[in-house]
Amino acid sequence: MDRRVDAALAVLVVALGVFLVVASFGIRPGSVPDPFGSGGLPRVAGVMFIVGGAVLAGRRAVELARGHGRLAPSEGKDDEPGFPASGWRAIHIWLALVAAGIVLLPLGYILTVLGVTFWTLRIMRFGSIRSALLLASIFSISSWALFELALGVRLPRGVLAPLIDLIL
Amino acid sequence: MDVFGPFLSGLAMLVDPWLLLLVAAGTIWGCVAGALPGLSASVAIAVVLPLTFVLGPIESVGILVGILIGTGYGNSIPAILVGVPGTPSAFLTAVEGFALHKAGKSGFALGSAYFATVSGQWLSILLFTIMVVPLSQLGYVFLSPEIFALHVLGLTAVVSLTGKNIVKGLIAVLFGLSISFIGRDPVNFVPRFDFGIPEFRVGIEPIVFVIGILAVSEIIRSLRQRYQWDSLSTEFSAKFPPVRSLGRLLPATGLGTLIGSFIGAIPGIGSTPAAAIAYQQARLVSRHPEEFGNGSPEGIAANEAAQSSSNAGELVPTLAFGIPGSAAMVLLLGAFSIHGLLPGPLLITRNPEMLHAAIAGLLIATITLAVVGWPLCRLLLRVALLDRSVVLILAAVLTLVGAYMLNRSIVDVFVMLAAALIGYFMIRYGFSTAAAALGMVLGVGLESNLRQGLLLMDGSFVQFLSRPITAGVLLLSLALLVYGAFSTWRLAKRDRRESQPAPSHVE
Repeated sequence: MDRRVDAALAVLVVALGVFLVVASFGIRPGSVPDPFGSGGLPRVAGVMFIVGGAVLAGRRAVELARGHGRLAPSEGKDDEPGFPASGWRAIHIWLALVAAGIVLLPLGYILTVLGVTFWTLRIMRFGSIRSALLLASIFSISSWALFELALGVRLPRGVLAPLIDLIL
Repeated sequence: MDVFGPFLSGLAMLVDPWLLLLVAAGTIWGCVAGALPGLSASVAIAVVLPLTFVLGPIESVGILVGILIGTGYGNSIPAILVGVPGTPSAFLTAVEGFALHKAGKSGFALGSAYFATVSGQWLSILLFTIMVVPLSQLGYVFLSPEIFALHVLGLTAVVSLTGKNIVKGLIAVLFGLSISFIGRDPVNFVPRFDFGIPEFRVGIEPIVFVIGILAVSEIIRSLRQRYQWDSLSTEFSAKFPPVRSLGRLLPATGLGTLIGSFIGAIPGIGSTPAAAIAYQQARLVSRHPEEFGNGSPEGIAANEAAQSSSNAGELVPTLAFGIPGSAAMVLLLGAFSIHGLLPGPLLITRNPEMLHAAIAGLLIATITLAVVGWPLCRLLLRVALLDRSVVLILAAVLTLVGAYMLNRSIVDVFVMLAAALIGYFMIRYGFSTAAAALGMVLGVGLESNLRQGLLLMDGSFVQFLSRPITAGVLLLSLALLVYGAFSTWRLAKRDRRESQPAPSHVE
């Protein structure tokens, strides 16, 4: 685990705490007065964020100042040994899902699911382009049939709306 | 107090063929998910959870319980046949079972796992009913201060008993709590932190946040890696062992069931420690302790009975107090909220059919495992050797669509994805996503009970905190925090010691 990244996350926690404290003073009081009020718990949470973040950031700052080096024992979940790992692959997959969210309504369920499944399978280097396309197509159409036809859940139709209306 | 009435009511639900079919399907899906290393019970539930919106609450609870039970069995198949546990709680099954498989006793290993899971499950259903019914009656004596204290206990238990760093655990809880501030103040209905977004005025949908931070984040983290199982064979020969040979497993199975049921009922502990403790105890009482570590069927039986019965154990605090016993239970509470049911100590007293549905789900799942569990072994091995990436990608896409389907809101999709990204970094850097999810789910209840409790006590903190049950539960929470702080300090000391170079010997 990179100490500098961990310290940066701790600083982010402090910033979140400062935001909560400042924003809580802008919350208007309600009609039922209670000892905490509408902004009370956010304020308490903000202070705890500031203290907790400062403790974590301080710990890493001391370690870096003492020359302990960039790497620290991991406190999170490690990758499984023996298999290649890439953080950029994970972020790339996330971006593909975000893109799917953006185009879900205009393009519709079938094309969006087909596209994002194909794209993410290719990111993971699954099979050939043809096999990825085939799997993505089968998945998008069968899942659409399961939700729309079997379970009666109305899914976004997008550009295929005229065709789907014709079928149904 | 009628303890067995709910059990009989749950039994009566078995005449519903639709419920039988749904729970059986959920159980088999759970077995498949459990068999796939990297696909946890949380992910298996998260994929199906949005679909439960089209079902009734009884069917929803039943199917989710079925998935839970199924994963507890499915994880033993790759553990025994490949040496890789489907989920961490099957680790000791992998140690003992794989050794037996290599010695040509695959049938005995698989049969032991099957026997212990199914027989342990029957007993755990009874224990669950015996524990949950009296505890749920306590809901009648709980006022807002006591409910607030229970929420605090649930949060501190998760923080103190999991994770390596208690400060990070507390920050994770606070993060989840902060997300619950978005929307309207639960006492005065004053708008807070909506950033001008109309959809945020009613708050963030808890279930999409929980699915994002618990399940999708884990999927994205798993997709950092590419896995290959090409070199492993799917061929094995296994006959079901003679029934009389399973008799020696009864003590280990009984011990595992008792330990799993009681330890599983403690919020935050989960099935993995329960299984480890049961394994250790079984070794102490075994007539063949030398077999442990080298292929002990009693080790398998204790581990499997404990992890399967801990599922029923986790349901106890979840249904009795509204305090989730594990990450999967957080999702189950989310399912209640989808159907407009408020999680809390009065959940099953106001909605007893939820308890009956849970019992029915446990019964049907156990019957399903009893019927198909053994024949499924071969199929589950093939499943375990599937390209994990494909399953994870399909699961991620399904959860994305499921998030949209809940309220037909694209904002929910982006909330889920934002939670997933945050959860990904939380997992990587040691902040508990389960604690954050729990903070979000319990946040509104915690704040409303705190403030309404203070109003009840005329604004007096002393009166609030000096109520006997409130004080007792809060002291227990404090003790857990102290224990967690001590564990953090001890781990940090060990890490510092291990990172120092060994002293050199000068002759």
